[in-house]
Amino acid sequence: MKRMLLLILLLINQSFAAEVWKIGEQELKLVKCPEKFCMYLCADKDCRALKAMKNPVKATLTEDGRNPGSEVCKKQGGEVSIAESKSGQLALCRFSDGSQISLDGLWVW
Amino acid sequence: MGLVVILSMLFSLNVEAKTCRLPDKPVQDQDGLGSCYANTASLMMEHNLKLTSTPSYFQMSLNASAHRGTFMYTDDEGSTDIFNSGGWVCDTFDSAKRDGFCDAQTFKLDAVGKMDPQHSQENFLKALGTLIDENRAELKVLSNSKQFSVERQQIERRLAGIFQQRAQICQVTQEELMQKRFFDRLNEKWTDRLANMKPGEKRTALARMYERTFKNGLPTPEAKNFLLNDFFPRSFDAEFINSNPTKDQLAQRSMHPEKMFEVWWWNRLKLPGSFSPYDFESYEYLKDFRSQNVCRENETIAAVKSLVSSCGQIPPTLEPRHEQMARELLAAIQLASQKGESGLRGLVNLISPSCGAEMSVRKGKLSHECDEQSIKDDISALAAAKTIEDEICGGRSVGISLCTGFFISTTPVDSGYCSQDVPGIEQHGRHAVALVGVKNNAIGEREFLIQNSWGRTCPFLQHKGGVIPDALKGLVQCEMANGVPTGRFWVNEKLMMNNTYAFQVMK
Repeated sequence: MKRMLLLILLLINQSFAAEVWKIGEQELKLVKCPEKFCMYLCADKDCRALKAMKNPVKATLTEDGRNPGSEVCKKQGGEVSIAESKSGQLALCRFSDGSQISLDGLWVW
Repeated sequence: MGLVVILSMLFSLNVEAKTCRLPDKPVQDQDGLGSCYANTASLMMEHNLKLTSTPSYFQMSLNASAHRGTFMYTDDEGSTDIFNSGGWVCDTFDSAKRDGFCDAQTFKLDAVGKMDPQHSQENFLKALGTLIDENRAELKVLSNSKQFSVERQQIERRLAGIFQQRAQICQVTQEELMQKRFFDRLNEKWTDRLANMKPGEKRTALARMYERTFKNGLPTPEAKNFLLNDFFPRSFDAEFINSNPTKDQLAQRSMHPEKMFEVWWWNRLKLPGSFSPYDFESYEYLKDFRSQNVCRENETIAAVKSLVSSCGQIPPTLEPRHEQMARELLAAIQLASQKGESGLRGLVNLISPSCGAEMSVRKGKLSHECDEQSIKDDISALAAAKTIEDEICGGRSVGISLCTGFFISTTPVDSGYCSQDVPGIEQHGRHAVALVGVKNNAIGEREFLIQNSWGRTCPFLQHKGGVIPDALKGLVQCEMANGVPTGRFWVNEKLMMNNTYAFQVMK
């Protein structure tokens, strides 16, 4: 049963990784965050993106329909970049160690 | 027995209900732009005009903002900033129809040149403002340069033509300003009463309401209540209102410098007849409007507006009267390119962008009737829901203006017209999204599919633990793909309509 679950998780990660995300010409190997519904890119488990994900900021409703995560990224010390794939756009918070995470991984209501 | 079961099943089925879903279009992520109105308009246009690529919501938001005169401002420290946060879907359609629109790949602000991925949407806007500030002295030198190409001279003439229309922009009275603000507040307060009026009729009705506010030059008792509680709370206090101020005294007190752009634009240019209410509170940053700097900035608004909306089209030229500003702005763009400001190269590309043929307004591909209606009561909401459903099932996306309190609440809420009285929700959260599907849920209630502009986020999974609150289960459903949200989510019809205050259709 455990092997089946691991296989399913691996397939999910792989199938998501198959979606090609780019910032300009730079390709990003984004994978699903552990235990959350966001996407991220990290060199190791101690990366800033994962640390930020484990300490989400409480967000508020935004005026003018802004993505609540855009403010959170700044508060967490990151900078936003917009990645693109065939399915659309994804705002990513990039940290100084090169790790990146989709904005929804940084906040909770 | 079997016949009884079959018959009961037939009667329980809504034989008229069907599932309608538009083909998936890319989900946008506006980051911190505040361009939800343009994201919605862009998606609606992509669906309803059967476009093969996505219109640039960034270009549309800038154009709509410039069209309304809220594109650029100077803060208390004298720093210029470019600003397009907040707007209206119908305004966006109007400005796109008027000036054209571009493919998102053409107007790609943050990755033009593909050299600097650090520039997000907001950074671009700030950089443009900084560029204008930092290069005013150098611009004067460059403006005398003979290096301009014929193409740029053509653009100068176009800009000068725009400026000519703005020749009298700085001559607005204080009463005109106050009247404008009255109009907007009255429009918000009596949206229901005004909703079915044509734009010209609405303006006449508002003018009558404004005149009834004052009897013999003094506010009536009924008007005092409005002035104190509804107009603009920070403008007047009770002591001032109860002192029976004259219209002139009210005008003096209500003149906040931050509103000057709106007055100029609304009173001096021939805008389409639509009257869009918007919140003044977002624009508190301007200095005294009578200063030359502010008039100068307004001219730059027009210049940048022309650039961002050009799509390669050069409108008929007029007698140039403000050529200096035109040359200065173009020189700033040239300087940006020379300095390698990759984040600003998008602006350089605007000088002669190439828009796809199908997106050319001149070819008459964009024709619409933006039918923005207010839905405040249950009867209207039901009728509106039916209209929305018919549109979607007819293959057309619909825009809605809503309050997002129900995103953050753990129970179903009814925010009405973004009222602050919704228990536990003390924020407005005004937003615009596009509807791209309708279906029945497991118990036969209708649901609408919302496509948001926050990338791959489902707001209902942003509660702690990443779980939809119990009270919302069955009322909302996040669409998922490969274990992550797609950015689209189904919402129960009643819940959605209880938090929607307007919708937009294209005809």
